[in-house]
Amino acid sequence: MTLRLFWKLVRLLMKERMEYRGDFFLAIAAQIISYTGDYIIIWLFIQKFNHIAGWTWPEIALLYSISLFTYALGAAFSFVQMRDLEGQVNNGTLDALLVKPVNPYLYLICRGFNLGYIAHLVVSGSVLIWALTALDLEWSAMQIIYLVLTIISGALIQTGILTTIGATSFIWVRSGFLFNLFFKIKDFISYPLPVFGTFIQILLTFVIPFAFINYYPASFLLSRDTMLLSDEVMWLVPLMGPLCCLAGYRFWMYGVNRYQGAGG
Amino acid sequence: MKAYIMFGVKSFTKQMSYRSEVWLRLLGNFAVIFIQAEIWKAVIGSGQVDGVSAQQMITYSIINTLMLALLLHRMSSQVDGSLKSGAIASELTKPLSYPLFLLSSGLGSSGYQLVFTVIPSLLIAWFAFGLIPPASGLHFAGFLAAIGLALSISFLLGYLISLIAFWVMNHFALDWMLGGFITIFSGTFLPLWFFPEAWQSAAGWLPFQFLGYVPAAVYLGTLSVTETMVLLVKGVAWSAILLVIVHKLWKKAVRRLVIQGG
Amino acid sequence: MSIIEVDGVTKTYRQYKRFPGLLGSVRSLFTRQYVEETAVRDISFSIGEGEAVGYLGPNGAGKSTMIKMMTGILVPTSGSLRVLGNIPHEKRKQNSREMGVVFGQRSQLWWDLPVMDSFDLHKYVYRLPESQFRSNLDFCTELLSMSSFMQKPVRQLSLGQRMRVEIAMSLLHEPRILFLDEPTIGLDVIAKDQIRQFLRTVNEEKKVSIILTTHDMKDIEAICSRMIVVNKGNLVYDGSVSHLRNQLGNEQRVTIDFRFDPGTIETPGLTLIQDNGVRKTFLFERSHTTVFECVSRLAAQYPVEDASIETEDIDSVIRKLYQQLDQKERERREIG
Repeated sequence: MTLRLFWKLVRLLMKERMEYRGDFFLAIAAQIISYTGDYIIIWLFIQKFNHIAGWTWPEIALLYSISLFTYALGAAFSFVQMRDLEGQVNNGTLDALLVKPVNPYLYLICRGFNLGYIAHLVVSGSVLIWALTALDLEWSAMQIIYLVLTIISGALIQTGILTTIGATSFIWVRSGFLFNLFFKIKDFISYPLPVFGTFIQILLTFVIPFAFINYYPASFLLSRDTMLLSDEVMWLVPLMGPLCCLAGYRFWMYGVNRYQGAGG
Repeated sequence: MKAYIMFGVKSFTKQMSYRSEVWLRLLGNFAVIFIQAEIWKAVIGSGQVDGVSAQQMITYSIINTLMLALLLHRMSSQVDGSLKSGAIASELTKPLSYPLFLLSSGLGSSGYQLVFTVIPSLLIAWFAFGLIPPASGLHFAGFLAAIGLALSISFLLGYLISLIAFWVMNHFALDWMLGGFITIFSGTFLPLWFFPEAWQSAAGWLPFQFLGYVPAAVYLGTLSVTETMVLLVKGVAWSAILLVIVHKLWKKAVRRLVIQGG
Repeated sequence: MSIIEVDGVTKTYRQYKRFPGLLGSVRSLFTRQYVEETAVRDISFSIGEGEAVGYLGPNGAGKSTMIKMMTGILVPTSGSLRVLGNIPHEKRKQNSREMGVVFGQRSQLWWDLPVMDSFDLHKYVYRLPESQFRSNLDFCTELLSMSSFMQKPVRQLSLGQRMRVEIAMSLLHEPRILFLDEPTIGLDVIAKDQIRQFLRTVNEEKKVSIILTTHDMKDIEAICSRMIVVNKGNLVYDGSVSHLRNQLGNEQRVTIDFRFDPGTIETPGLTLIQDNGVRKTFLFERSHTTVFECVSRLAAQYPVEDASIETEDIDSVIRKLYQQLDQKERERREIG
């Protein structure tokens, strides 16, 4: 998988979208409405109760925006591709991928690179920027680098988890509902984790690393103490993404091997 | 009538093939209820806010989460599928009413959800978080009526979206929009009584409140008997209005199909 | 030199058992059982460079499974398999540069973009030099007469046009082997003809080895000199097309026009199957005499006006092969 091939794919994907540009922009508008709805409901909630576990509206907005922004980045490379894998395995279209001289995982995620997530990025990106200015933080170069790195890492965590779920379709044939479960569990990180007690924090730190997507980075940026990780390890947080992504990739390749019947 | 029952049974049994997902569904519902329960406990604590306790809010969340599994507004992809594949032609030539066909298959899968997801989830949630009984027998009767309204309004909204998709050809975008409105105005997560004044009256004018807020509020008895009656009548009125709109639109849609050949 | 070596290859699949009924569905929430199914059973053959081989068999005979194993998509459960000297799934990437694969109905084309864009992407995926890409594309465009729809979006193409595009695409990187899984299924006669002719040219002039699965015997007759027949996972025939015909197609239909109705005719070797008075049709079973001998013997005894001899078409030869196999199996089952 070369960069040249990736850019060629992106050019074709854009051209394809522009074939139905009316549709495309309608979908973007619809998603903007939908995600604005999500923000509004949290905003209404905080209008009433002022804070959740001591986190105020701009802080919650920051937390939620990092979650949504990294989801959009990660999902653009993985969600639809992984969700549709089940169907591709069933009707055999995946086979065509396996006779190409490319890495099947990289080709699949890039071939399906989804420009539609621009809506998520617009909504969450603007709220993110608003939240950062409203919070009146003191910015050092280190913090800016940290924020950028955690966003990349968060996107990689989301990709890694979605990839892992997608890979199960090689094994169980059906993976559809696991994606549904993913979104339900991901809802935990829309709120500050201390709300949910110790067990959930341990679960989302050590079992499914959702907490590394937004809770830990946001806590460190806002100088809030967390129960499980101290300030000294904050630079370990951005490592979680590459790790997760690699694990997901390995599992996916294991799944392909199983699909091919090469042991396992 | 028998044919429609058959469609319902068919879609019930079709859902059977998803049965390995039952565990995951139960887990998913548990997670959603857990999240909301913890949030309500965190913000309300052991006291009350506006006369509502955390325990009441937990019951509110359980009802809303489980009702979401029963609502019928998600048929647009089915309609869109048969529109694009051309199967709609054969569906229209059958001596059946197309909307009733959709309704019965929707009810069939809701029936499946009721048996395999909602009831087990309800028992689990009852055990794990506690469930307040309905305010009174009368309120429970009102609750059942409200569920009937939720089903009918969700079906009509979904059907409306499907029909608009005959022209817009993008049911996906319309679904997202509907979803956005439902998120805000149905009160599924945040009950309307916690809304600021202006938002509350806006939500009161819209049909979305019947998909979540109304049944749960009636069950909990947070509304007076007259308020409840007014709301239920409003719900019937919304059903009637939507029914007229979809009826008109359906006629136009069929004409469009006939002229353009699908 | 052989480019494909298949030696004792077996492939079994594991399939989950479903329990019927409502009670069964509750049961399958708690238990899972599976059954093993053998799609390919102990098959061996080898294919030489430049050969064109038809791989055929009824539905579910394990044709696609075999193609998938040869292309490195699936791994055999047992046995050894080498394509271009490599174990296909281990050297998947390396082999894929030397292989073209066409999967009948499962298109990889960009539905909403002009055909040319799909070709263009292929150039990047296979990292082809512009000159090689151009000349191969021109060759295919001309022989498959694709120039009229090169700039049309794929969704507007007919099935035949789409298949031509798929085949052209599979040849742009100059593969040494071309695998085709049912390339002519669902096409009209003209499209079929054009594709057959093209494949023959590619095989003869470019020396590309071809392995194709099909249900249409005419594909095999037009393109392949050799065929491999499989049934229920087993290899049941491997040899030339004409040899199979000789082996099984030993029936010929003889229609004789008499000047006047000769009444009942007794001739050894000929069986009357249709009697229209002056026109009688016989079935000739090849034995020690030839059909000409029989007819001339007849002409000596009776007033023969005209005679025509019809050889059985290959379709019915194959049908007969399958029927024989079924028969054998039934007998085996009855004995066992």
